[in-house]
Parts: sequence; C-alpha cells; structure tokens
Amino acid sequence: MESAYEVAAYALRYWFIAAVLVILIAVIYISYKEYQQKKFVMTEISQFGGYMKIIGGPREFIGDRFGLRENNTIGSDSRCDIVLPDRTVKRNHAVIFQDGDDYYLEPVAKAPTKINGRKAINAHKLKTGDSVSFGDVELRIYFKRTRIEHDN
Amino acid sequence: MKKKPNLKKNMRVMLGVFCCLFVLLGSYLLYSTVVYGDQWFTTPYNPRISASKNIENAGSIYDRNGIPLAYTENGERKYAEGEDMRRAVSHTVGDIYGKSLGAETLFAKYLYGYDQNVVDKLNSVQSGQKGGDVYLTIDAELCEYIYDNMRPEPGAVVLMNYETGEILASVSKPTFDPYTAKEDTEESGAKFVNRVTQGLYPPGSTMKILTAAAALENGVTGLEVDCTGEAIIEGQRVTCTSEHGHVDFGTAFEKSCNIYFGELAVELGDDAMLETANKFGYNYNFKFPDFTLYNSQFNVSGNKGDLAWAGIGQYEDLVTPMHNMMISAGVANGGVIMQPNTLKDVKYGGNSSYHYTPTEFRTIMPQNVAAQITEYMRNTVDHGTATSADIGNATVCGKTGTAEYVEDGEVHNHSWFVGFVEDPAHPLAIAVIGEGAGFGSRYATPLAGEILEHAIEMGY
Amino acid sequence: MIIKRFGAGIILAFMILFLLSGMFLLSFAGGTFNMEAVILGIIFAVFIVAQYNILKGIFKHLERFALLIADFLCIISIVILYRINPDVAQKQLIWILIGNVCMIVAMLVIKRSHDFGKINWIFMILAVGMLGMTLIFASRIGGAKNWINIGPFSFQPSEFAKILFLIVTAYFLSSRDRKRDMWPYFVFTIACVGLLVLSRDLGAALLFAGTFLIVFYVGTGSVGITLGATAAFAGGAFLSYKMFDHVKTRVEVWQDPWATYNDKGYQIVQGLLAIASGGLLGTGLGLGMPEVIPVGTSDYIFAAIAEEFGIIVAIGIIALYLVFIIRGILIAMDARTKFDKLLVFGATAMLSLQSFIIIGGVIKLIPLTGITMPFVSSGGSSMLSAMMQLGIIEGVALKNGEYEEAELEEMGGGVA
Repeated sequence: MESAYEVAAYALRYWFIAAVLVILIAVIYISYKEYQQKKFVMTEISQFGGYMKIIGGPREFIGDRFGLRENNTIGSDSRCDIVLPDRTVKRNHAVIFQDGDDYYLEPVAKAPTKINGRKAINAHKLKTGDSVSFGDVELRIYFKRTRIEHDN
Repeated sequence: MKKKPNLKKNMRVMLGVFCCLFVLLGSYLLYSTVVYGDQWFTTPYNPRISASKNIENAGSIYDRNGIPLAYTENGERKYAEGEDMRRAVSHTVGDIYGKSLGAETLFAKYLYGYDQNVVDKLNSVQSGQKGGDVYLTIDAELCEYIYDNMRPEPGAVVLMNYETGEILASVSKPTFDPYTAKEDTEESGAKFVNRVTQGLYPPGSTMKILTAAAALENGVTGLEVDCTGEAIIEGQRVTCTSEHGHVDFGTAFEKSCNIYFGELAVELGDDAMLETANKFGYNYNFKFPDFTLYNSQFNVSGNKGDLAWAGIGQYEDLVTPMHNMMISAGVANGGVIMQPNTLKDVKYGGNSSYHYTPTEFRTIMPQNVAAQITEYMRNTVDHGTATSADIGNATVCGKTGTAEYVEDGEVHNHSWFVGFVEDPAHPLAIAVIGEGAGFGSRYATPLAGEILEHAIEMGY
Repeated sequence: MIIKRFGAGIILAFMILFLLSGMFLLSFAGGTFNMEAVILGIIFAVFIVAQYNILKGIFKHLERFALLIADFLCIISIVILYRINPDVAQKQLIWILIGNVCMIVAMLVIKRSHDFGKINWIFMILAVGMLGMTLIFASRIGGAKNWINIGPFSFQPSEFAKILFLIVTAYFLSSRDRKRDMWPYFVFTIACVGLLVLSRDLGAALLFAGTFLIVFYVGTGSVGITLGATAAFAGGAFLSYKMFDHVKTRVEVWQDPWATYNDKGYQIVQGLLAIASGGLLGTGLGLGMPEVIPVGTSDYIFAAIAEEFGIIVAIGIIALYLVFIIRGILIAMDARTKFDKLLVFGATAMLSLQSFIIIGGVIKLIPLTGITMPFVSSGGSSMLSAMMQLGIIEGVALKNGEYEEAELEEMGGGVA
C-alpha cells in the first residue's frame, strides 16, 4: 500500500504543477482581456458628451446609437462623422457642435431637418430628450447629466 | 505654485518597482536552487538523511569492484566487514550522523532517491528499494593495503588515474569507525577530518615543480648557482639539507636545491610566480561535484625574501594532498589536469542511471613544459632525492618534499612525495604526506613506491 | 457601449480540482483510507464555489480575480497544512470562514463610507494602544513579543493595528495638502514603528515603515522627503543593528547560515534544505519531510510548499501574488477619490511588501524577519487581517464599479 501511495504522489506532482500553471495563465489572460476591453470602452465614452439614438425611420436602423463629440458632421456621405445611409438624408445634411457647455444643431441649407417636430433652419440649442429628424430618420438626443470629476 | 501630485503616475512607478521586486524574487529562487541546490542538500545536518524511515530504503555504497562498503540491513546501516578496510575507506564513505563529509552525505541524493527522473523512479519502485546504489571509483582493497602500510600517526595518501580522473584510493589518518561514529564526541573532530581534501600543509620542496614550470614558461632557465648549503637571499637566510655544489636548472631540481630555487623565484618576481600559482589552481574555489576541496593558498608580500621562501614551498604556501597530487597528474597528462571524481556509477534497481565520464579540469602548462618537467621528475627518482620510489615494474617520476613547520616552539618536518607512473598502461598519480614524519625521502617516498608497485600488481 | 464580464469558470474549476485531488491523495497518506481529509476537502470546495458565486451575484462589480487568487492561496494553505498537521488545517479552515465574514464586513463598510473623518483620531489612539499593550502584556514567543493570550485564544494585535494604520494613512495624506499639517500622522507612524521595534517584532516594524514610505511617496510625489525618510529609517535600522544583538544575529545568519547550522542558522538552513530536496518538481505530496521545518506552518510555510510541490509551483505562487498586486493597483488607479485611491493602494502595498519580505527571507535574499505569508500561513490574526485588506480592496472596487456603471448608463450602455 505504501509504495502505491508513493507512486501516486510522485505522479500527481505533474498534475499539481500543471493546475497551478493553468490557473496562473488563465487569471493573467482573462483579467487582461477584461481590462483591455474596459479601458477601451471607458476611454471611448470619455470622449463623448452624449449620444443620439435612432427611434424612427427604416426598421433596420432603429436602436442604433451614435456618440456625440465636440464636432459631428451628419449626412449620407461616408466621410461624415455620423453616417445615415438613407435616400432622404442629404450627403452633407447637418452639423451638431459644442459651444461652451451647450450643443447646437445647425442644418446645411435646404436639408430637411426638424427639431421636436418643428422645422429647423438656423443653429438651434439642444437639450436632453429632444428629438431631431434628418429626412425620414428620427433620433432622440441624450447628454451626460453630470461630469464626474476625478479627484486628483 | 506647488505642483499637485499626480497619483496615477506615482502608482505606476510603484507598480514597476513591485514588478521588479517580484521578478527578482522568482529568479533568485530559481537560480539559487538550480545552482546551489545539490550543495545545500549535502550538508551534514539534513535530518532527511538520518531519518530512520529513509535509512530503511536507502541504497548501498560499493567500491569499484562491487565490495559493499555501506548498506542497510534490518533498518540499520552496516559497513564493510573487516575493521581495517572499514577504517581505510571511512573518510570516503562517511557516516550518517554528519560527523564526516563522505559518500553517505555527498551522495545522499542518490542513496535516498531524491530528485529522481521518471525512469529512475520506475526502476527503483520495481526493485522495491527507494534509493539507488552508488559505486565509488576507489578500490577498497588497495585502500586497505595503504592503511596497513601507513604509519599510525596522522598523514594522507591519494592515488588517481591521471587519464580519467578516477580516484583509486584516498586514505586519511587518523581514521574512525562508522559503527562508533555516533557516540564519538571528539572535540575538534580531528579524526573526522579528511586530510586528503581538507588538510592544508606547506608543500615544501614539492613546490619546486611549480617554480620550475614558471621558469620554463618565462624562459628563465639559464641560472647557475654554487650551493654551499647556506645563503642570504634578499636578507633572508636560506639553507639546503647539504652542500650541493655547482648546480644548474636540471641538477638543482634533482637534488632539490633550496638556494637555487629561492634565487630562481626572486628572479621570476612576484607577478610571474603568482600568475603561475593561480594557473595551477592555487587561491581557487574548487567546485568539484563529488567532494569539497579546500582552497590552496599562495600569497606574495612584495618582499623578495618572502618570495624566495614561497618558491620553495614555505612562507604562506598551503596545499591539500589532493591538489598537490592533481598538479603531478597534470604534468603526467601533458599539462592537462583531469577532474578528480569519486562517483563511478549510480544504479536504480540494477539499471544504470549515471555512468562517470572523464572531464578535463584545466590545462596548467603547455605540453613541452610538461615533458621537460617529466624528465626532471624522472631523473629525481632515478638518481636524485627520490630513489627510494624506484620500483621494478614501471618508471616512476616524482618529487620529494620536506615541509618545515613549527609546533610548540620546535621545528618539525612533514614528509611529502608527489609523482606519477610514466607508462600509458598504468596512468597513476600519487601524493603521500606524513605529518611530522621528517624528510620527504625518508617516509613518504618509499611508501609511495610501495603503493605504486602494489597498485600496478593489482592491475591498475 | 457595454462592458462584458468574461467567464472565469475555468479558473474556479481547476482550483476546485486541485483542492479535491490534493485532499483525496492525502486521505491515503496514513496507509489506510482517512475519510476526514476528503470531508474537509469537500466542505471547503463547496464553500469556495458558494462564496464565489454568491458574492459575484450580489455584487456585480466585484474584483473577481483578486478574490480567486486569495481563494487559491487559501486552498494551497489547507492542503499543505493538512499534510503537515491535520489539526492545524481544521483550525485554519475555521479561520478562513471567519475571515470571509470579516472581508464582507470590510467591503460593506468601505463601500459606504467616505473617509471616516474625525474617527481617525480614535483609530490612532486605538492602534498605539494595541501596540503598547502588546509591549506590556505579551508573552514572549520565539524571541518576539507579539502575541496576547486570552483564555484559549491567542492573537496578534499588530495585525489589526495594520488595518487602522492603512485608514489613518489614507486619511491624512488625502485630506491635508501641506506636509506640515500631517505632523500628527508622522508622530503616529514613528510611535507605531518604535513600539514594534521595542517589542522585537522587527518584521511588523519593517512592514509599517515600508508601507508608510511607499504610500507617502505615491500620495505626495515628493521624492526628496521620501528618500530622506528612507534614510532616516535606514539609519534607525543601522543603529538597531549596532545596539541589539538579535538584529546583528539576523544579519550574520543571513550572510552565512551554514557557519552556525545547528544553532542560530538552524531555521534558515532547514528552509534551504527543504527547498533543495524538492527541486524543480517537488518531492511529491506526502513524500518529503516538511514537518522538520521550524515554524513550518506559519512563517516558513513557503519552504514546505517548495519541498513537496516544487520550485515551479513556488514561482507560480510568487507570480500569483504579483498578479494580485497588479489588480490592486489598477483598482487604486481607477478610484474616484483621493482617500479611496490611497486606501486601496496602501492595502495592496502592505500585502505585497509582506509577501516579499517573508519569501525573500526564506530564500535568503534578505535577512529573515518573523512575519507571515498572507492567506497561506496558518494563524487566525494573520488570516483575518489579510481578509480585511482584501475586503478594503473589494470595497473600493465596488465603488469604482458603481461609478463606471453610472457613466456608462449616461451613454446608454451598461455593465453586463
């Protein structure tokens, strides 16, 4: 019996070593992936002041979200910051920009743009909850309520 | 305006520091275990070695011909049959209580089955014996012969095959009996000290081999001296055992003229002598795998008088019998010293796990210098101071040594002989020392001759 | 924008397998089958699985990896302790359970509190009081006065003073701008270190001093003062080397333990022998002789692990500690208030310093000091203190998570 134990304990050394190494590598790998992903997401959202979500228009667009930076060109052209590939959206349709603490929507001339149902011609200040539409595509706007200060 | 501390950056710095610290921790652990692990394990106070559960399953120690020198029977450790043989090999075989540093401790790793690889483990499990069997390079019967022929007073003899490095015999007196080792409470442990590897003595005239080699390599061989038996060299009085008359390099070596070699050393200078000594292995930390060899010592003070004495093996020169033998072995082997080994084979369950292979230790002189010194050493035995080492069945080359030392205010002499057999069929190198036994030619030299003759008869 | 939490199930699975296989093997160690080991293993395994999943379920933002590493260290601890002495293992398991309770308490307290404000003064008095009491009342064990016996229980007050020290450190460094306003804190630190040195608890003194220096540097960024303080402590250490014999002994024994291998250097030599006999792969669980290692269940447990499991596992443990530290520092960097940052960083620094000091001492990298290995060494106070520090780390991690979730929700995202 004793020598059977010896052989078993002797052989199991390899298992124990393997288990420790697997645990170590798994911890490093998984925690790293999670950390990378989190860092990516958090730096992304720190660049945005808010976002807008598509609530009306072609069915396949509904639910899509776009982050809003300091300056955002909107249109159907692929070079725009926010691309809405719909017939009713002009190539360069409008701009949403930041001035001080507020965001403004300024449509390009003759581009059919509405804010909260009413036609928009000039630069118009935006607030959270406003709905805007470019052609047939309707979106709702949300801004970050608070800026959480990082203590130094 | 004071700067606000950037905590994130500081933390990153500390993160870097911690990473370095822990990497250091891991690497130091790995390094010291891999490099020093075996050394640590073979210290005498390892309870794992003397634990009874380990003794039960320990392997046995045999000499090169299979004579059992240590084995376990009924849970007890047993040793060689006859007391003479037991004592003759006592220092090489060792004991299990850590009193001496022999095979029982040095090869504990094999005897108790530590750190085995899979194949060895399977073999030992199959045989039912956890430890492996260790075969030493020594010949126990030759050791017994040496033990019987040495005088009872302290001394040491070591015999090696200078082509392979196998230690064929190593005997150190006083000896101990492993059966009584446990109760032995002798203070300084004099009998447990292996004088072959741990005894440091002034080399005396055997140093002249080194001085001669230094002279040959530096081209300082033209010196001629008229020896009157006494001379003042750089303010120090140097004497010879007799008046040698007019001597040159060769005759001074054969007759072992102190005055000649003292002047020769001064001529060579501190740097050349120290360089040769270091090349020969003096002041070097020997790291042999099979045993612990104490460092030999060669110092220079800048004072030429001291250098003269150092050149003839006094001043602060110290050497172990093992090292002194290795030097002669180097001369015999074309200037190349082979690494001395005591471990020949390790077998688990009868299957060989380790078989000894000869390894070079270092080259101490070019081949032509070795050939020249061989000639001088041959002459020394033929018609010089070592004629009592002349034997019938082979040509012996050697050098006598008479090393002065002071004890209780009186001057005594250690009797030294180092040499080798010049015959490829019998590649034997030897060193013999008798503590306080008088002139080299009186005790050590004839004893060396007898031992070599007997070894050759035994077939070595 | 969603943050996904990756599945860490594989880690938990291997940990449990490790535990069960180890205990199952040990149940045969005595020649006949011993049910006790298996039962212990199963109880602990069930506990770990429950603990991990319940905590993960209740607290969405839990720092899972630090918890898993701590759990694995506890598992290794139980296995090796059972091998050396089954009774110690049983006691250790109880302490782990109590420790988990302490951890959760600490988590909740930290999650909800700001910086404790005025209470810190009470903490300071309490800590100095505890250390002072130890000096006066403690019984001398192994040359150091750091244990107090109350009835059948013995505990180390310095372990709990540690936690108070961390909080006070974070408070002063975060609420005071100018260094000279921090003088009560400096006095407090010197008092603590001094009391510990007088009690001959050099390991804890080193730990407090080291943590102070590290957190001070991070919190104020002033390299000059930190180096100055380091020099002052080093000077103090040098003085104590000259004055106190036992310090001198420690240094001599560190340099050459073999010279006194059968009295002063005994502990270090035995540790090195244990490590050497294990070699790279270890002797195998139950096949070595870790029971001859002095203090092999607490301070020197690393040597026992290295003997039976091998150097590879030992280095793996060192790596796991490092990963734990990295996770802790990441949480510190993410924390939103200065107090939180310094508190978590302090806890992480203290745990990492502690493990470095003891492992370094066992492998003879630095002189040996008598402290325990966090999560692994046996000993209630040590386990509770380490668990509470883990709780601090988790607590701030939870706070961080809540902030992150809020920010994400503002952007229409969330944490999965």
